[in-house]
Amino acid sequence: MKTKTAITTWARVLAMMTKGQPEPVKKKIILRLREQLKRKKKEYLLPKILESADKYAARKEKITLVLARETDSRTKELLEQRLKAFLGQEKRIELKIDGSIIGGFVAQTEDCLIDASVKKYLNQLKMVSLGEI
Amino acid sequence: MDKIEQFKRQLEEKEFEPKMDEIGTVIESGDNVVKANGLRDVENFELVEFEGRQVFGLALNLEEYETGIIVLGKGSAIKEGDVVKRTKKTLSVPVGEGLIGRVVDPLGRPLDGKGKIESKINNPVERLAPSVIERQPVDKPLHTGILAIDGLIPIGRGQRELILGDRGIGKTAIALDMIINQKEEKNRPVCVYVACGQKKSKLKRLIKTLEDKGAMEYTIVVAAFADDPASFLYLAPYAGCAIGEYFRDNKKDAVIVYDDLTKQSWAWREISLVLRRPPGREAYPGDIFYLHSRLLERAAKLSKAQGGGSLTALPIVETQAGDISGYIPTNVISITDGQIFLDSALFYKGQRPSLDIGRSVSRVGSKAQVPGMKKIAGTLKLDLAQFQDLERFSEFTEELDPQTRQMLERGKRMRELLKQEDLTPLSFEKEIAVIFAGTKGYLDDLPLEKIQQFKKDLIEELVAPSLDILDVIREKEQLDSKTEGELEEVIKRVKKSYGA
Repeated sequence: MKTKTAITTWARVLAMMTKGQPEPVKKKIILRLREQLKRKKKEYLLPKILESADKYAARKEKITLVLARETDSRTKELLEQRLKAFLGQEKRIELKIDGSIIGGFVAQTEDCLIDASVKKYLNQLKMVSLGEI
Repeated sequence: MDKIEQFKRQLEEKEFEPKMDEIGTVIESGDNVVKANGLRDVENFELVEFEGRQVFGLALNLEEYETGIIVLGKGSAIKEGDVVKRTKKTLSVPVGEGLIGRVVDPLGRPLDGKGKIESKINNPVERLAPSVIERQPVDKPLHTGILAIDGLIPIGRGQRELILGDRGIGKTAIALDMIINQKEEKNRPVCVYVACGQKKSKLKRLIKTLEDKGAMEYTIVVAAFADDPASFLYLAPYAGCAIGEYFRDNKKDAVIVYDDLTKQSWAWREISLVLRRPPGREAYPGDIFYLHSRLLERAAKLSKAQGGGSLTALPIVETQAGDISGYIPTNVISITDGQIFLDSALFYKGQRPSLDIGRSVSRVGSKAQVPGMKKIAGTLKLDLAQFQDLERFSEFTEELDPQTRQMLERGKRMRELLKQEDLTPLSFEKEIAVIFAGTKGYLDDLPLEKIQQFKKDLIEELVAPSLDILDVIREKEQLDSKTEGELEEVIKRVKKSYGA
């Protein structure tokens, strides 16, 4: 297996096994992985695997919410509640401001995307007028 | 005002509610192949869209955590981290009458600058071939206009006949002649020419020839050029097949030329290696046979209950130094219903088409041959094969009995008679008349170098408005004794001008 693929595979497995586990169990799993890598003379891969596993876990648990501009905390809170109910309660929301979406919002997780932006609406209007959809 | 109302109505029909899209993220991109994670429920051969890049891809490798995607367009625009979205659609191309006379790419987009394709029907590029129940044996001939092919290795509508040979010895020319010859045919089939990995200049010349001969009126060209991504070369034959299938399924006849499948195999090998599929013989992936079998199985003659339409496939495969036992040639030979093998040695000796009679065969076409042709050319292949053996034998001896000598002389004349220049296809009634003159021995006393001129003169004489021999043969599709007598008279008359 190529090094990059090996790191990705190990990182995925590690992230899945440690998900929701208490700290001592996590530590134990990592120590066992270290033993395994040592036996295969690949201990040097551990820091990269840990880094990659962290990124993977963060990506899995993240909802990126894009708004066109800063909005009041009440609207934000309502939006977050609805999104969590829809995409997963345990996920954390990362807010981004991007004026190019003009209005509305875009919510994205690792495997789904809700585009409720004005930009998309206008693009669809353009395509309808050009007869492309 | 009207336009605003029209636009309003257009908008009312559309739904603009935000939807949840299933997405993935690009983790690796290179050589027009992308790896993405996410895309949890993506299906094999599903079309995916690279958000914001206006490029589509085709999901091919579904692994536990990753999906291998071939990019259908400019792959260099795609970067790591880009969002890739499911479309929940399989790849399809526009099909229908609106494509006739057009040049399109494997995605059905026009390449000829003649504007939008007028077609409301889309057919999936990958489809199952008709079942055994839906088929019927080949019973109608497909005339290529090439004497040697129609006489010796006839092709039927719905058949799959491979054309193979080294590069530059006339494989495309045979396909081109066949297309041009359909112009005057009864129940003219729609022709689809798939250029797979061809040079743009070559295709330009080919289209120009088709236009000049008036053949673009019933021809569709699907083009994937040599500088297109491997995904286009891989898809072009399937796209062409989907276009041809539309006519087959709508009770019509269609012919498709895949020029050539060697380049498609190379493209599929390239894609498979980049997708890290295990390489096998000559680094081709394990499914290289299936790549061609599932394509060529879609050529069929449908039963009457299914409308009776047909799709004839003429795949072209390139050999290396005449090696017919190469990996791809043997694969495709075993899939098809026969092959036309072009020999480079014969080509350089000046024989056009450089058909190797011994190694060419048509397994089902003779059943579809018109009765007239069957009658006069029935034993022609055997006679020519015997002549070739005798010719080789005669190189070692000078003492030959008169019967053998006569057989040799007739064989030489028949070989000369079957020579035919490119772009000069003959209608089947003319072919019958010409072959009749040869097999009945009327050319035996003519000098070898005058055979070609005699052929031309005979045809000129036969097309004279005062004669109806060709019309009768065309009408009845056979040579009755009265027509035979008339034909003999014309042949004798032409021969007189040669002093014979």
